[in-house]
Amino acid sequence: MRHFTAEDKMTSVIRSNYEILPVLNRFGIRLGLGDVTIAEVCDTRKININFFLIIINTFNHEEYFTAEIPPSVSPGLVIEYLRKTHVHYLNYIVPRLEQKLEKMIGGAPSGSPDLKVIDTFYRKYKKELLLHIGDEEENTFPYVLGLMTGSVKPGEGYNIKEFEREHSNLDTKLRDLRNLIIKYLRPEYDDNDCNEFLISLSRFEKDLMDHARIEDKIMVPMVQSIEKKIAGR
Amino acid sequence: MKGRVAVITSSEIIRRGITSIIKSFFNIEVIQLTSVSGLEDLGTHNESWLLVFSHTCTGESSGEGHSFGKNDKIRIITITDEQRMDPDSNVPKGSLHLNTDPFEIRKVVSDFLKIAPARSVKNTEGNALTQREKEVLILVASGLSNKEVASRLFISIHTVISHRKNLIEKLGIRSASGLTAYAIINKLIDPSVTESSGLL
Repeated sequence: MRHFTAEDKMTSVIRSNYEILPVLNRFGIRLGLGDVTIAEVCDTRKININFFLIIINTFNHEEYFTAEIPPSVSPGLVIEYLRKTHVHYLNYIVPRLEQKLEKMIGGAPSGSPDLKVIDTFYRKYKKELLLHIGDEEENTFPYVLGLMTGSVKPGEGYNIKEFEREHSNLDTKLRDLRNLIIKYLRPEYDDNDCNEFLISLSRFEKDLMDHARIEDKIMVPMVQSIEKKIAGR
Repeated sequence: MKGRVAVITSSEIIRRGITSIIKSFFNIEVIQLTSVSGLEDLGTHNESWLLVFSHTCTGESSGEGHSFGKNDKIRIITITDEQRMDPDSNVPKGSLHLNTDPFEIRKVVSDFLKIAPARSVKNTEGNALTQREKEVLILVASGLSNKEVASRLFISIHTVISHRKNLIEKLGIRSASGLTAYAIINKLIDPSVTESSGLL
């Protein structure tokens, strides 16, 4: 898949990968687009096109990182997008995932001890995920926005370096959950229920990786460069 | 006498690379160690060993100078990247160049196995756990830290870490709570122990 540019049609973005639909929704873009280009949609909806291109291209290409983030892409813009992603996870993805897991457990012979282990593992993971999202909302984002307005000094009550480690920890747990089911769980469940859960899980895994990439490769370097600038004054 | 194969180098890339090459040719267990000290815990008595070291410009790992150098139950091969060596010739006996064809490694292992046949791995993926790995798994799954596992099994912390790396590679599970889940599903530990402790 090639990299998208401002002149590309929005329909080609969607057709190339339907998984990107929720990403477009986070920008307020909905269907019924006609033949408009990326530039036209961004213009009408007052979306920063540089940021939009970064987001859709990183979603499709793990290795896509713009060497330099254009100055028009502010940390505030990135945070606004990340917050919308959190809302989407909390209000839609996680509850749906949970429903699918419950259906899978409910459809299995009662008291399947293996599924109980999977359920406990999932709940533990979810707790950690929610804590992490909560920490970002309550500490990371206010810190970054505070740096921008000057109300917070670099490193004051927060260390941005700790950030990435927590991500790899959460990724690991999700991967473990997937491998436990695929490799070790005795198939005492309805196949369709399990397939649905696993497919949703792997989608979520991919979306989360993309989310973490935006935070680790775009937000964190941005914050570090702001910290450096302020410290150099 | 049974034969066993170990790849010993601190470079994860080289270690896993050589291991995967050997495993692509032979259905045998290949032990991965970051340093030679881990060998002591494996009990080298009554077994023949093929030890594969890597000796690169930047790496320190080499079989040279170790006391087992003259032990006839132990055969050593060193993978080297020294510039002066031509990949095709002039390589000293017991060495292979890093750029050599994987078939050269196959030949070395094959020659070794003719004298000392290795137990074939039961699992088709070659991922069966060794007894020691199982012990480490059970302790980690029961909530012990690497340090605690080391002192419980009288082995070094480096060896515990090396066993854990092998567990990750064999099971595809990395987190401690993932290992706990695995151990319960496979009935290696009693779920009631972990239920109250919040391990899982």
